[in-house]
Amino acid sequence: MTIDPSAAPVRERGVRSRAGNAMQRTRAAVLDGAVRAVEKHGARRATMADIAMLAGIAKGTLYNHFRTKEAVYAATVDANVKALIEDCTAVAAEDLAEALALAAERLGNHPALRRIGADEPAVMAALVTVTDDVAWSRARAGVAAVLTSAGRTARPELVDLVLRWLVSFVATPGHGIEAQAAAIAAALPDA
Amino acid sequence: MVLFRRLLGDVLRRHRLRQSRTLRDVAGSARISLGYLSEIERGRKEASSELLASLCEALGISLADVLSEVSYDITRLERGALAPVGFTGPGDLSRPVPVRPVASLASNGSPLPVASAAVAPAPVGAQPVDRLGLPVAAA
Repeated sequence: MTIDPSAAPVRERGVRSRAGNAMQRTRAAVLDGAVRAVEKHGARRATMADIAMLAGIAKGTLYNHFRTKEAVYAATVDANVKALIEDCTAVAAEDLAEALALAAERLGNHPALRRIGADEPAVMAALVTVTDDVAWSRARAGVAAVLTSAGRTARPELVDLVLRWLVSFVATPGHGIEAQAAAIAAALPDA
Repeated sequence: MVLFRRLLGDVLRRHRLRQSRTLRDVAGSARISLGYLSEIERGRKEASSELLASLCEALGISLADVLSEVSYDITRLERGALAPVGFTGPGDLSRPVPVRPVASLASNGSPLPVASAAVAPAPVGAQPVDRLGLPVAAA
């Protein structure tokens, strides 16, 4: 789950132009198209052409944004994780159990993950292997932000406890998520 | 059992994420609490008509579109669960969707004549389908 920085075109920060916004829109369409392509064909069988078609853009346009399928996938995982963390951090300020349940459920019902879970055990195994690389560090930072937002201690072992619980839903949707989320939220100590 | 509020929540979340918008953003423009929007998206709470209207406005989509998407999802789910004999599989969208009573009503003591539809064995040659009624490829 590493992200190749050379894969995406560089855009100057803070530059807002009509072209820039259109570029963001195209990028969002690509990331959505990637999820749908994996849902439909599986991660291995989906092609750049599938992704472009489901994103509603020309193949050439897709290649202007990403050079390889792996780069599209990395950006898709990154964007999905980021969006999830943002939502959970906001909800956690009101209700930590709800934030945890929302994360677990969204991972468990993610269409692309369910397809990979059904057809591609090797890809799934790679996805749920928790390591210390950049992407997982970012996930840990996200969990820590969620705990902090709820006024709880974000000690590393507690962050990992929550992270590993959440990762289990990447592999398979669970039952009794509400009760588990409530139990974890109740057990996490205040900051 | 197919729950309307669950599928509605899925559709609303799908639209929000497709627009790359956060819960905070949409909850803010619809003037509802973040946690409440999260619960609606997860199908834990029933959205009132007023709330649904302001959510649609916040997302810039029409209620009609939302409801037809929910209707489409319900159809797919039910086709997956109750494929009639001779049906070529859920991937076949060229065929008109067979209209039939909602099976779950029967368990609530409804007098609708749905009888054995819910427990009918899968037709010979039916494809295995997942939760959404999409065909599952053989391993």
